[in-house]
Amino acid sequence: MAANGNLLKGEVTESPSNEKKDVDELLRRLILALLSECKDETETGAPS
Amino acid sequence: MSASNSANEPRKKSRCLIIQLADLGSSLQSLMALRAVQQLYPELEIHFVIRDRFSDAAKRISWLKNVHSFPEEKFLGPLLNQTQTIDQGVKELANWVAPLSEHPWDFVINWSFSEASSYLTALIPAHVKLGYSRREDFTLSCMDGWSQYIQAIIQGGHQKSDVEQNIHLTDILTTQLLTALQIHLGEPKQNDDAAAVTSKNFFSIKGGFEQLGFTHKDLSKKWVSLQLQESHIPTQWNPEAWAKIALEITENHPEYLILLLADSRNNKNAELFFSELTRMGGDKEKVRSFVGEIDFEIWTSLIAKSHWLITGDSAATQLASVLGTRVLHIAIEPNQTSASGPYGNGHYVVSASASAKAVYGIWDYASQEWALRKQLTLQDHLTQLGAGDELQTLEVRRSKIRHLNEGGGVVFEPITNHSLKIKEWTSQVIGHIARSWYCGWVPPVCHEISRNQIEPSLIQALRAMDESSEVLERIYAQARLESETLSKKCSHLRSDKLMTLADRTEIENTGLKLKELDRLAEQLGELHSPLRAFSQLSKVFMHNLKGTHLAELSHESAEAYHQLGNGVAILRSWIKHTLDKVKPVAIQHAPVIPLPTRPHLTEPLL
Repeated sequence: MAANGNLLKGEVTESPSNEKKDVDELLRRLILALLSECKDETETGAPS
Repeated sequence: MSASNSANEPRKKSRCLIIQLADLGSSLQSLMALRAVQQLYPELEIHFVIRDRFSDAAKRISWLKNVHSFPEEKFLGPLLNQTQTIDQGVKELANWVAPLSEHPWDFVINWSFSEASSYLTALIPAHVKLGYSRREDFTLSCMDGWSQYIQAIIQGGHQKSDVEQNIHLTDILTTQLLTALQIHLGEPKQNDDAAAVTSKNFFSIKGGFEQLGFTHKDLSKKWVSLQLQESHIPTQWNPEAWAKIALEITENHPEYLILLLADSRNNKNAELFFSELTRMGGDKEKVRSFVGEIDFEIWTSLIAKSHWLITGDSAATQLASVLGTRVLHIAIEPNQTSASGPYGNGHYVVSASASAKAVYGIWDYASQEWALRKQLTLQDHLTQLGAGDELQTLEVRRSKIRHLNEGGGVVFEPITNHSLKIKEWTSQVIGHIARSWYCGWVPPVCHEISRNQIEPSLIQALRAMDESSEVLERIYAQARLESETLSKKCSHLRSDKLMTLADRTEIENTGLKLKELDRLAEQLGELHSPLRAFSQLSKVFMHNLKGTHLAELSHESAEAYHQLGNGVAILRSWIKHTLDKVKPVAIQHAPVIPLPTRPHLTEPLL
């Protein structure tokens, strides 16, 4: 096992839930990010 | 979840969702990494999110529990042509995400390493997440070591940098997921029946070449596929160059049949290819064109049956790798070879500046290498073909999967006389540091570097960097000390906000000292590009500290500086070992019987 085992665990949540997160805002930002990636693809011709 | 299972105890099923919203080449690399994981953890239920247009690949894999196609065109089309508002788009997207969010996953692994994918990852509940996600304040979170490495080194942090590393992305993804599974689920099951990761049968394909117009004679021949790269990439690899290769192969090797592969964007190039081939006197009948008319199933069947694929296209390269078809890859983006070159044994990579004649010569050598290797070198072979001079400026590499005792993973060994440049030296060092941090195993320092690869320009660069790296090591030692002091100081505070003026001043001063040390580290990176890796890593580490209080944050900072200092120490040992390799060695007196002195010979001759 690596000396830095903690770094390899990832983000660990005991009781995962979306309750605290603003789901609508995440969705909105996801759409905007996809639109931005789509724009980059149109410019370069390839998915980023 | 905890790693309570022993290797042979039956384990409860765990559910793992992989998010891959990048291009087809990355999706294929992910599937290759998953195959290795699935063989070691057969009870793991693997679900895969992939862009709709690439989903044919994932849908043909029997061991994936479920494939969730991400219909980006359905979401984005109405927004782009303004028939829908963002809010309406959000509703549509929410409906698509809902089934994925119903029950928390054991693992959500985001292998896309993109902004959009980080929001999707944040939306899906899971006990363990790897890769990019978002915190509650929507800032980017990247909580595991390998993802931080990808962000800082492979993607170059916030600004694109030229620091390279030499670990293949397929190896990184495999190691990242296997380590996480080992931590959270326990040791993998012993699987003596594990098949090779790459295989002609990787995808479930119905096959059937007769309906594609192949005759029995065609089927009895060996096939070489030429895949034209995406037409937007500027390269000298134009239809004329491809036609020259096809001509050389068909004229000199009648036992081979050429397949020309490309998507419909290359229709014009295909026309040019055939007119050029005819102009040079080539036989069009010896080339089958599948330009613009193939789906994933046919494409896969053709590449699987081919003995070779010659291409500069990254997706085709990954597909051939998965299928175990040998690749001669024309490295249009050479700095991506280490991370995204063809995976497996015996593939060749040549720089894109190679002429068609040289590429043919390399293929000719590679396709007969077992017969030729013992008798003549690639240099001799190309000289016989009249392209020997070109080899002085070309880089030709051959892929090899290292033995497990040597650390495993793919390596691209130079097969031409090759002097080591500082960039490549750095890529080996950075790869070594990552293995030391995240694998717990490291190969001996410099063991893949031979003395004759080390040229004066490298020695000069290393000597110039030696002193600066020593300073950088001291900077991180000092930063660690300051952070520890800050952590001790803050742990005695009742609140992070309410404190005495003296405490506040002391904390502020320590913060300023740390800022200054970070600035100095960055300056050293500007002077010596290999050292830039550390300031890039430092930024990513510091952005991803998990603590919420000053005491925790400063304690984590101290650990991060300690890790960076350890990395610089590894780099310094590489400098030392590399310079030691070229130090003159005193020749010992040979144990021979001295000749008796003959006085007449001691007299001067004149």
